[in-house]
Amino acid sequence: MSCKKRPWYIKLITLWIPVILVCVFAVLPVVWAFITSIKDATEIHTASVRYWPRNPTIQNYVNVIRTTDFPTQFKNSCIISACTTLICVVLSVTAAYAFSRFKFRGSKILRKFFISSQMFPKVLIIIPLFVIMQGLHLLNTRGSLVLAYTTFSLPYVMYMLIGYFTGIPRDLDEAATVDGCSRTGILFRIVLPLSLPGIVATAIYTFIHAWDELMFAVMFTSTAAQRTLPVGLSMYIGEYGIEWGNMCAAALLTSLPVILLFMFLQKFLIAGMTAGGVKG
Amino acid sequence: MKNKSSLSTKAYPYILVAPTLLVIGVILLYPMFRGFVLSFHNHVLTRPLEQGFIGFDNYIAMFHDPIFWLSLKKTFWWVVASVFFQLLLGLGTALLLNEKFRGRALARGLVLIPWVMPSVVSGLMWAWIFDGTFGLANDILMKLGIISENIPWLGNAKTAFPVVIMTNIWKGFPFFAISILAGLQSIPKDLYEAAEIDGAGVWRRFLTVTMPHLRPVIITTTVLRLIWTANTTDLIFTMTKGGPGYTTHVLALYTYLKAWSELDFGYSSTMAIFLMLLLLVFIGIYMKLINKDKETDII
Repeated sequence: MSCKKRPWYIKLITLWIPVILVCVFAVLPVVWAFITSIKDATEIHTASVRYWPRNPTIQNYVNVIRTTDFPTQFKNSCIISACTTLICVVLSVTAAYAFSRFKFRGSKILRKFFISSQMFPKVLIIIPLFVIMQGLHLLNTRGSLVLAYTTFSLPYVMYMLIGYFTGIPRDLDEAATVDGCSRTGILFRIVLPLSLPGIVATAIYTFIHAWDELMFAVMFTSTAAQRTLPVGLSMYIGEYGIEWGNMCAAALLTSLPVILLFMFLQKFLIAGMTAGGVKG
Repeated sequence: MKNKSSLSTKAYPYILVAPTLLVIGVILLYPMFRGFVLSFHNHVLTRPLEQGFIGFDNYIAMFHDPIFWLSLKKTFWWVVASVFFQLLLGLGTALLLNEKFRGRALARGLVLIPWVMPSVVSGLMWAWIFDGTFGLANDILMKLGIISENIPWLGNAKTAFPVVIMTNIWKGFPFFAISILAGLQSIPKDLYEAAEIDGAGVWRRFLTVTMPHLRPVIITTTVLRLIWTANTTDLIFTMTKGGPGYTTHVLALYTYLKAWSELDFGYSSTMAIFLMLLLLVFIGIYMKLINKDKETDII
């Protein structure tokens, strides 16, 4: 904090060592999963742990893609996450516009509901939703998961978009009205283009959240053809003789899209995260 | 905007909002209502003939269920230990990352990794490190001479819960770090300069300038994390499924397992309602806090 020059050893103890420790703690499991994923089974099952494989191999990745249900699960996760995101954003845009521009009865209480619904226990929704889906014969379909994920994502997207839309100055609306723009025109010509970064960040976050979701997916899917990536991964543990190499490869492949999306939009996500309540 | 009070002007916002509210009503409010109703029913999927209204029987059974009380205790420790250490580690990390040093951007990126990784992946990676036979943790602790034989960390009644909590601390501390870092960056620099001129040392500046400014961020984030941690089930589900025995049965997971493995949807709903009522207190506190923080910048 101060700009005074401190001796090097103080800096080492108060800055460098803690920074390195924290970073090592943060990346250790990921690095270890990667090292495991490029070992073959004989190098994983050794009496004394080997920190780097003698013969690095991509065999685990090939196995995961060729011999397991990973590709099916990947496809399911992609479809479900994309549909959830699309539905939530499309449904939210007009409603969030109304919330940000008009005062109407119940708008305050509804906004409180949107933010607080992020904190409801998921089990409270999972159980009755299962009974309802069962009654409608929707269990074991991708649609049931899209619906389920919309329950917690839609209020979140609403809340975020209201925030972004409210941040756009009303002066712009008035200028546009003078120029003959209708109220709906203001939404599409002024508000949407200006809040696009926020919308993209929110959409990506929604996608990642659906991609990660486990509890609904475990409950609602029981056949291999409908499983998502998290469900497939969770089934590795508890198996007799876990194939750690395959598991690590599958885990890293599952994380890859999330990490790429995140790197692509790191700035937006952090801005959005600190702006409002985001599930962590 | 001109304020014509014709019918279409008044109806306009409602038309915009209607589809979304309809969807939320159907997929969120109605299921919550159904859950409430279910909590007063016997609804075990495998015994359809016995299903029906039973009044408060589920609630009475819940208060006589020793595992329910155990799971409440587990929930308390799960939440308190996780959030306390997340806050501590997050605060420390934020203070470090607020300093200027070479490679700071990289360090900030690395620290975010736990937050970005999917929960299931996080659970699996740590389960692998703490594996009883080939795990890295045993290997390192043996080489350091701390333990003399392999410990099956997740299969041992004493060690499973701490390991799961540690995983949760790992997963959650970046959220604190980022929130607090944002708070740190909003503190005006001249306050530090003024304090320094007044002769305040590093520790004194931390207590009189940094902490008072961070307090709202810390309190809000902590309450939010308390609620989310109480709701978190995916990490424990992935790593131990509540075992060994009932050693990692937090209430949210017990509720889930009642429905998922025992198919007892009535009793499960009862516990879900209880959890919700418990959390409503904290949700209320949170809403109060953010209203105070944000009164100025939203509408």
